Amino acid sequence: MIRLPAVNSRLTRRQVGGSAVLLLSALFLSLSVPLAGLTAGSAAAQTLTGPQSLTGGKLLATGGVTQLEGAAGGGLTPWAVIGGYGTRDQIGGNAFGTYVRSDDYELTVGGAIIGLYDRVELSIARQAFDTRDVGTALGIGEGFTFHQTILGAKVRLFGDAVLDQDSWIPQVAVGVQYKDNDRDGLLRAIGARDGNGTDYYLSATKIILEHSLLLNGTIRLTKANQLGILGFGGRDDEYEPMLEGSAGWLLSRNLLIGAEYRMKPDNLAIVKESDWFDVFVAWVPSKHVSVTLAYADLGTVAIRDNQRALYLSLQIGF
Amino acid sequence: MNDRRPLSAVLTVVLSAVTLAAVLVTGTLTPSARAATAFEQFGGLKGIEAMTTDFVDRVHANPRLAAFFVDSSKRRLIRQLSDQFCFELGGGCVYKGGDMKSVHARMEITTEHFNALVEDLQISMDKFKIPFGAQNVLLAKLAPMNRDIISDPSKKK
Repeated sequence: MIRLPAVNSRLTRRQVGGSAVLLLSALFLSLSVPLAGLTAGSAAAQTLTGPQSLTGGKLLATGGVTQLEGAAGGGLTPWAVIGGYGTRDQIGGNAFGTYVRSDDYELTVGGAIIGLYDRVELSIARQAFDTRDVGTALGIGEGFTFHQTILGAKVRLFGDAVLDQDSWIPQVAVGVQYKDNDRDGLLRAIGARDGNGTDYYLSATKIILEHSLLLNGTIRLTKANQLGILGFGGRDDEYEPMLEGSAGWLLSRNLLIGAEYRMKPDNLAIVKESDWFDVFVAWVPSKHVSVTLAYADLGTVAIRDNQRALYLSLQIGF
Repeated sequence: MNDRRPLSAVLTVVLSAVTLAAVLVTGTLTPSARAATAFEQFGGLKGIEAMTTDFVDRVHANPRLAAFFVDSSKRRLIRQLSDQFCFELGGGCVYKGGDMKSVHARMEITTEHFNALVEDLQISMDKFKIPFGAQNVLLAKLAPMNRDIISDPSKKK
């Protein structure tokens, strides 16, 4: 029995009746549309559909971790994957903190990523490079720190690293990283042309699932000295193409081990710059946390050679 | 004056490390795993049927996926999926069900739904202790089917 709500006694019986008719009509209309669908009879009748969430749809670890400049990828190099766990109908994001300790230096990085519909990635990262005792040696003071802000954007052009298992076509993305160092004056004094600059890159990522293998190749146009920490440009002010690569092996759903190589320019006249190489382990216990541990050979950084570094990164997100 | 390590040297180190890791992991986990095919690692057809029964129960109980299975018979689904998985793993079975496109035509399946199903399959395979590498062999065969399963909004009437 339907109970009508308490009605103002001033309403006439006709008005109450009219309201009831309207209410019942609305009720009938709202039911009849899906009912009509059910009774239509053909195969195109009722569509089966399930609940959809706003995020969290990607398979575990398929967003990569966060590289040193804030883009989704490995530890050193950006991949073609879009960060976060959002599928093409969803949004994802994460925040990260990375600590790198080499023989003579310390680098800390923090930042965040937002991934939109598995198509666009926006990132921000802040780097602090502590020269420690080398600062003293350089005459700029012990613990002198360079800071750099990096704004990144990446667009997936085509391909799906996880799903395109029947094709050699990789997932391909283009990206840009705008870098702004806060020590313009000093950087010019050491021979850099600029205190800020922009890197452009193209990444191709492929997961060969039947062998549990992940492969990435990146080509980057850059003028940045030591990622931009030592400024941009030097002897010349030209963009140079640098090659970066990652190879990883999925040991289990939660564990990826691999190695990376990153070519570096050598723009400054007064100091040498080395290519970088690392081996890493990424542990991804859930879609909300990942921890990456790496051992890197950074070669010569400013006036110190043989820089070997321990790298630790924590990423949280959705 | 760039300190560029020879690419060939780097590649040798990387490939050696990966190969060494592969040998160590497969050697220490299951000594016979290297010789067994993926089909064998699933326990043959019997093993596939047991795992698939668990998988079908799992997706029916999954609130994200249950709605897609209202019209289907569990028994029929278990038979068809077992035959399909067996075929994809090179076990020689014959899959007698419909093609992926027609079977899923009446469903609005998103990437999220597809992945949720893959996750349930992974949980079932883990439960039956199927080695990770063998799991990925099956997933590699199933992944391209996403094109016929996931609804393309641009193609909606």
